[in-house]
Amino acid sequence: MRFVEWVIKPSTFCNLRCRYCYEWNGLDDRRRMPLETWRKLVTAIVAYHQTMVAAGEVGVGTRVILHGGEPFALPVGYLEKILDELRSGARAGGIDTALTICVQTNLTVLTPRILDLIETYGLRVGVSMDVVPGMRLSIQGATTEALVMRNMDRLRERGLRFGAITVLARHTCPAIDAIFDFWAAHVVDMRFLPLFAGPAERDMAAFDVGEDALVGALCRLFDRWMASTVAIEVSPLDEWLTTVVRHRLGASAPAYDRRTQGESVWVVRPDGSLFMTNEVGNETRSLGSVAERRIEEVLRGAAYHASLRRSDALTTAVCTGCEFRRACDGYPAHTEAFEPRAGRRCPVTHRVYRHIDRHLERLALGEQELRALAGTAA
Amino acid sequence: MARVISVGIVPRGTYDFRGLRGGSVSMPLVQRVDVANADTLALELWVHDGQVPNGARLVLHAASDGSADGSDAAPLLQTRTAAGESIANFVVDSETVLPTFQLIPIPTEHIGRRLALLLEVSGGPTDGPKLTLAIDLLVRETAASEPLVEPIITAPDAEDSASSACMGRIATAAREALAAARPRPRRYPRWREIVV
Repeated sequence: MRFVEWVIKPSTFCNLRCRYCYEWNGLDDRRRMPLETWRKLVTAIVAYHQTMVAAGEVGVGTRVILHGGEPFALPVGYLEKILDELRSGARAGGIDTALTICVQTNLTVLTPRILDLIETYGLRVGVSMDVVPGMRLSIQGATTEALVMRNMDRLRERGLRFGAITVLARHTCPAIDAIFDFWAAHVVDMRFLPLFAGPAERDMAAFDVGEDALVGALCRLFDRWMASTVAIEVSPLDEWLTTVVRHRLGASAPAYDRRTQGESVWVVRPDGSLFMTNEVGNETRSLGSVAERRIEEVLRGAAYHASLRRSDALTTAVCTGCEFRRACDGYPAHTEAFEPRAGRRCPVTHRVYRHIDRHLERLALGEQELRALAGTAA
Repeated sequence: MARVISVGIVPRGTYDFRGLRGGSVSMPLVQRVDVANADTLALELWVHDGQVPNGARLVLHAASDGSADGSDAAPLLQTRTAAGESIANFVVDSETVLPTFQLIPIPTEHIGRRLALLLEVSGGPTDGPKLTLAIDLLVRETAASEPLVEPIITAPDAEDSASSACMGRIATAAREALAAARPRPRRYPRWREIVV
């Protein structure tokens, strides 16, 4: 199954003031995406899915991810309206069975109505929690981890499964073992997200962390994961392990190429403007707004084609000459925030690849051994 | 760049004091941890699970360990400063939401050459606490003014890492790697999640 993901921010308003949040300057902005814009967005989502199917893709899925801000801090009535619009639009477009709706939440607002909403609309829940306190704070400055833990219990009591995202920053890098242990103890699939660039108005000294620390934490996390007996996914390490194994097998992955493969992730701001994931926050890189243009027009627009050229240039600069090039599809170069130049590798991913490669080397897992392992029962 | 060494000094274990009713006990968890060269110290307390009934509590104390090299004499474990204040402690009681994680800074000026950790446990009227916990010690080796921390990468021994779970993960990766190598004229990248 291949997914087209729509990361949608109905609002940047949030009930928390996480010190590192890249939406820092918009967290008190209560404006919401107008319903008229939402309907146009639904039209775009359906049209893009149909375009992919018409192009011959088999098994395409569309995943809508409500993001923010805090989606659950919005009025439940508003959430019900946009979810109803989405479901009816998907049904009318014949893509309802291929549609998954997710919500990324800080899980501090979990009223009975919101629990009902999750259940009624079959929302898949991603919980943002760092485990280590001090960064994810309420407006009054209080820590939120204890509340989130209680609300995780309430999700479990309703039989609602969830995944977790932890941000890697100054407070979490040194505690990576404990954080892994926490999610593993709860058998929750986890994703670790290196600190994202954001506005300078934030107190950078409180959370900023260098590439060396990120690499160190991810390498240590990999070792911890390898030694763990708990069956859980740890992203992005699971994908990176596959890439390195592919490298040692001498196999290759189809290269990341938006021109031939289409888009996999769209980010939508409250005003309906569209962005690529690594260009969110840079208003000059907007691809256009679904409030003003149909998706077909966006795809034909100058801004979109300029974006494709930037992607091409990035791949050429970073991936040319990389020893993992064939095994890696090149996507990591498009996710890390760094200034690319010819010969510079992905600052974090490439170094973790090498750590994983050394790990496999220590285990004496060459091509022959890996092929034998692949043949063992799953 | 400052470097922080994370040392697991108390492996994950369960401490069962449910039979402790009304009384209290104090026990050393760790002794003679040499921290002479540390500029800053912090404990990472991880309480994985537990039950703490009303009136019961558990206090983790950092202590200066007065043990002398080669001496069999009972060590002097000092949990208070000269001013009579606790050097560093953390309380787990019935109000504490579990599981929890707590970073506990230890002022190095109140620790001599060696560090010890003590557990002080009080039972409630009907029952005592039971906790599963682990403790790491973070030791920063450079000037205290250095703000950045970087964990040391410690690879497990090869024989440890080649567990069946580890090999199972690698086998899964190998199957996926070989599957992706099959001809696919068009595909989307396997983006399961997003980067924002």
